[in-house]
Amino acid sequence: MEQRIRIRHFNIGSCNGCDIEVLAALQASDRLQLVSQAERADLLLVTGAMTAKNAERVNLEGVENGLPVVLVGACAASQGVFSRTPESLPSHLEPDSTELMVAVYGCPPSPAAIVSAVLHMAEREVCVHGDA
Amino acid sequence: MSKRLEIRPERCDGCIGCVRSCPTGALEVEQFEDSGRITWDAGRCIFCRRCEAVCPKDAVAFSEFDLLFGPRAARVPVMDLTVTRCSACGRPFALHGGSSETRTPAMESDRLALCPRCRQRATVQAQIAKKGEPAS
Amino acid sequence: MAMREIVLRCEIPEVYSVRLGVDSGEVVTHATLEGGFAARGVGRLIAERYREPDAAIFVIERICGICSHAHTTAFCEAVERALGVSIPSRASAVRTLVAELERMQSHSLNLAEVAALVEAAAAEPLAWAVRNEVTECLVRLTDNRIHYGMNRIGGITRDIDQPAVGETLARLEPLADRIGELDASFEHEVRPVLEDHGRWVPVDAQEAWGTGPNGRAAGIPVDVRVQEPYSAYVGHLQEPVVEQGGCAWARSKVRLRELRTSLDLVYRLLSDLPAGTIRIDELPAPKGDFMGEATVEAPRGANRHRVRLTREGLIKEYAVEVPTPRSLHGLERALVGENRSDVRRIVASFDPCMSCADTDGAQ
Repeated sequence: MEQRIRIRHFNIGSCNGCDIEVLAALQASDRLQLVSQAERADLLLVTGAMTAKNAERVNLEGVENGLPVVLVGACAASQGVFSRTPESLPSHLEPDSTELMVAVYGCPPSPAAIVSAVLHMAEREVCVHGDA
Repeated sequence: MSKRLEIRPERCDGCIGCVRSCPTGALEVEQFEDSGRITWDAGRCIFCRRCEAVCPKDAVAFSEFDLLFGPRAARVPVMDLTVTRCSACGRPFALHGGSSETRTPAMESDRLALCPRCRQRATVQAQIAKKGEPAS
Repeated sequence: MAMREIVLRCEIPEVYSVRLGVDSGEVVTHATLEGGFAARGVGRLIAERYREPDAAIFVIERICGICSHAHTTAFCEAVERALGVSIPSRASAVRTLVAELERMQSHSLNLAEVAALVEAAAAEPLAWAVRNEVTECLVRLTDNRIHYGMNRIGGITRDIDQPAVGETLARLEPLADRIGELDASFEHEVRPVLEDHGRWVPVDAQEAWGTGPNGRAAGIPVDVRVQEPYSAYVGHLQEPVVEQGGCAWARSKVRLRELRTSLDLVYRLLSDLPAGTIRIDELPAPKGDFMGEATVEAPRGANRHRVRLTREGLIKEYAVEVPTPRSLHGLERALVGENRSDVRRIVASFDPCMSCADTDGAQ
């Protein structure tokens, strides 16, 4: 039996369009499961562009800690339509390499695209920085 | 739906209306010394298709295949453009599409191969030559 | 009685948080819902960077992913009033039927969330089946699943061809059957859990105004489509869907019944689409004081957009009022006296939209 992929979903300022397609992806695939803490996750998923208000209470620096990251939608990848407003900030997510981070393109992307990105990233071998 | 953007080079005349109409800056234009190009970033695109609707030459198209996921920074060139140089002062002043079919006969005429400043000077000189010096 | 303050644990804490005071019996003594974290400065962004109305539509659509068409409809109507134009009747009919499909997409998703929180094993997949089927209809008609891109100033962006109309009509009857099954499973699995819990009864129509299904569940017939008709609603909807008592079950029942009334309206509009053009191509200059305001019934209640244009038809000022904040104090009151373990399902029964609740107006 295949193990479930435990996902910590960060919505850092989304319009909810991507979030409802993530819900639909969870519904469509029985391998995907949400968890409430990054420490218990196999993979991080992000929707939305970081807003000024969330920047005061959400710190994403270092949260990925060697886990694969799936950025869902244009806002998570690049701030999307909100890239010209001062309220949208960079999310400080590292690393920015293809091996550990992908963007699912769309506004929003389809549930099928989200599922395929998550499965692709979960099946990669990831190296944990420092001591596990 | 998320599909790959393509520009048909045989139709594009380099008006960059697509770039101007893009709400997110996914489409951008770069100009170099002797050339230019239109680039597209799938990570910034919201797939609104406004570029496709605005293009006067039906040059912008989205391929039939779905675009799923890839690098966060996904900017790629989608159309090479040629720089038009002023035939008088030599400075580049416009971009146009690559193929000779997109250059209309009018573009080959001397007046339109001048940059705005040189064209203005040439027009004034032509008027003076026709009518004589203005009364001062 | 020992009292303590807790923050409710939910799977995505970045969106909103619920702070509760509970007593030693785990009964809620007071509740505060904190949100507003998704504020993206849309009002200012529009007035400063997207001043051409047809460009602003792409940002306004993305104020919210669930009621995106409701927002662009209100915006277009506001601008069209400032310009003094009426859109062609075909465009009006399409705007309306897309709005009703969006309402069904939103309500069925909320019902799926409520069913999940109540652990209703039969109702949850049925709600998803309805939501997915409605989404397929929207894809066939608009080519998009979430942000449909159907509105522009003066009408709609794309026409609906006859094959799309025919195929969608054919899907509606099986969809009606699904909705019937969903209703039956909710009566069986959800009603016993939610009935009489999470009560909020607004004191009058003024308090209930613009709260959508939440006010209607308390017996107050507030519905912008009926009281101030716009688009193609004139003459179509006769009475708001109303339930009594204002408990969590009543709110879910309103949404269940509205799936049906929306489906009926979609059917009528698609069966009898007016012929003609889909937009006004030549828009006139703004009239009068260059201001326009429009209110629509979004899935969660009244969305109101106000716009002031310049003489050339560019946006000078822009403000949005969204529905969810009107229900929030009621939501907080409805939690008092409830057991802490019921809080999440009662919150879900109000169907709060926390991305919408964060929009700033522009000056």
